[in-house]
Amino acid sequence: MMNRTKWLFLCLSLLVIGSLVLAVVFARDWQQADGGNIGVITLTGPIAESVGGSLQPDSITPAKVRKLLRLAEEDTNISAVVLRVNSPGGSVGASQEIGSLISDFPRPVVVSMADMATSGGLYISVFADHIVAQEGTITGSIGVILSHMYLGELFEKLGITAEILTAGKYKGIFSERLNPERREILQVFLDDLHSQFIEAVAAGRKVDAERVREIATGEVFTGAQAQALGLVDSLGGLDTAIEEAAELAGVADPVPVDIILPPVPWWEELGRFPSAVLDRLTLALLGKDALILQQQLEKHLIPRW
Amino acid sequence: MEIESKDEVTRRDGLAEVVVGIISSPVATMREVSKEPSLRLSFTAFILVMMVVSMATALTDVELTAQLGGSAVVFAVLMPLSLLILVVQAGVSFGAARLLGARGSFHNLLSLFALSNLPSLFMAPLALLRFAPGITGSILHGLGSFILSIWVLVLAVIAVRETFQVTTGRALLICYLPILLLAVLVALLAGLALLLYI
Repeated sequence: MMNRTKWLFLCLSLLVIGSLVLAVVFARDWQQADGGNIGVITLTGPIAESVGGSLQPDSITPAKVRKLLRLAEEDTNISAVVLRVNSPGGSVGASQEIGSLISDFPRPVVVSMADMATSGGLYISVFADHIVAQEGTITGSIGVILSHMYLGELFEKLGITAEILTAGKYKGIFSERLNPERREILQVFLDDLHSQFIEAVAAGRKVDAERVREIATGEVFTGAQAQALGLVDSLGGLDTAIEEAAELAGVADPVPVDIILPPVPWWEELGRFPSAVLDRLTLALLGKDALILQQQLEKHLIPRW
Repeated sequence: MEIESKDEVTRRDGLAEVVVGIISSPVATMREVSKEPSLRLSFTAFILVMMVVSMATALTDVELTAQLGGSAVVFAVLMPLSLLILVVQAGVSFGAARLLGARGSFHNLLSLFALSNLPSLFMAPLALLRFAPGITGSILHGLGSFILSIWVLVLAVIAVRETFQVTTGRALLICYLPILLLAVLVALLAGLALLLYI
């Protein structure tokens, strides 16, 4: 009986230890270990410096892109990256930062444009080695937009008197009504940002800057039109982009691998709970208008591509 | 729930006998262990089980491991935490048993509760199912985990039954009453927290 017991215990121990050893073996990279993987990073949403509140759509932030590209770079099995971009654009600063990150990535990068890659979405795409879009993808919109809200009348309705003291002639330019002089100052400012956009597209797409300026009217193009204009390299979907990335990386049988951020630890999720509750209470108590106003105020004064 | 017990008695000599006994003839083994409960042996078995479960989780469930804070947290924090939970579970069940008029030894209950987790050793081979392609692996893993959970719960009921010499039904009540009370407490606290934010 004792021998039988010991034998059973030994079998159980071998089963457990063997399973753990197998788990260690299987937990290693399943995919090709010969650098034949193509990392696929999905970038969806508006481009912004930081993530909005719990009721805001998910944003493409420089921090997120940095983490994702770092994960791709650290994985030696990944030979190239495909960025699946679906974005209407966003803030200029964040777009430029993301563009730099893509430009500095040491391996081939191919952009696959999804439904939409306009404005900032196009901006970040031009730093890739190759751009693929569907015929019906909406792209283009090479321009800058800045919203200015004068809240003086709202404050009057609320019985609030705001006195603004400044040092510097144009310091309060965003707090006051626009007059022709201020409008001109802001226009010069926007024109400079527009030029930066045009130069980036010209450099990324290796097209003459003057040619880009001609089409940089803010109008949108279909993927097919964009290809004719030189903004996009080829037409197709994600599979086409993966094949292109494999070709650039010299990989014969590419295996696409999704690169996603690891889930946040439970204490960070728990930490978000109070602000999420507050957002929902704000919505319930003050209504949708308050939320829309809040979102507009967040975009206020930030130039956007 | 009817639990049959075998006539043969398993002589408790050491870890091997207890482990095999709990898995193959739990009632007889628990009865034998409760005569001379050894917390050292029970905790050793429990710690080994928790190590296996932690390793299996860390190796096969990358998402959960990340959510818990990484492998270091899984090993360094969850191990002592699981011991604490075990002691709290035994304490709460002991309290519930006393409330219901049952008499027994806490030492005994703690020892048997520790041993009732032994079937979790099978989490190691079960975890390998996560690597199976497609949804079949996940379904089988889920099913297997569910069966293991039920197995552990049944052993916990047997542990209570053997400790307090009560009927199976009463043992079930002793096991589940604290969980029900805890659920009510959590709901009340959540409601209070929401009220505070309003």
